[in-house]
Amino acid sequence: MSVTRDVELGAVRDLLVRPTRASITFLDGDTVAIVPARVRFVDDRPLVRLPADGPDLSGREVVVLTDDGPWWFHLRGASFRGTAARDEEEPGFVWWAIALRRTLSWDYGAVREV
Amino acid sequence: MLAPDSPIVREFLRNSLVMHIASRSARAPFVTPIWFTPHGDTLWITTGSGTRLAKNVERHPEVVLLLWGERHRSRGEVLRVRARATCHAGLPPWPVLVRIALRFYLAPGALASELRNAGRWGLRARYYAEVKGGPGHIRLVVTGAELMRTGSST
Repeated sequence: MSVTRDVELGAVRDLLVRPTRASITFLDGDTVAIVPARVRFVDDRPLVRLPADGPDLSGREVVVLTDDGPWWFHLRGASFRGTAARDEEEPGFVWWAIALRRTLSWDYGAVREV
Repeated sequence: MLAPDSPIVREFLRNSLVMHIASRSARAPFVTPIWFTPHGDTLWITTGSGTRLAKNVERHPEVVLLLWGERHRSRGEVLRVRARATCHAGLPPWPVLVRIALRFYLAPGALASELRNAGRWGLRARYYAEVKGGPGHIRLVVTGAELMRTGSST
């Protein structure tokens, strides 16, 4: 038997409503880039708001990360890997939708044998 | 760009417990949330030597971190930090381990959480024993930083 802290996404769904920390990571030329992000979720799919003059993420692989908790048994989070596509626009900002390839969610307070 | 020893950088390092650390492989971005501990001029992270983060920094040592200063700062400001990472086998030196214990296991809120979950310490020990590649740690040297606002800056 092994030990896991992985949980179903539904177990950390509150993080999708009000994430404590949220970011989006992508490659920018030869370097990796990470930006604090405003994220909202529609049917468990993330949409990320970035400034209109920010990076063009169209077709790029990105990772959206939301998490919470300072102490070991309070650490919870979810990450979403996929391809970005331009979605809605609002004055000064663009919302990027993520076509998901992989979702991972965890809750160290739920650590258990599997 | 803020200097690594600027007051606001020191403040964020003191008041943040978890960082988002972004690294890269040959073709893909990677990010993980992780505890860190400042000690000397270095930020210390414990992780398995065979984890994806450790493998990435061996090939691409330039990483980018986000710190929220969650212990004291109001929400909305985030510090983005550029750092150079090196991966090392084994645990960090004893002075760093003591700081990690004080910061994450014996701080007032941490100790209360630890005691409430004492029945699961064994599971945690097994979880760590299964970490890929055995014990390792990453040392981060900050090269620069900038203050950002959530969702409003790139």
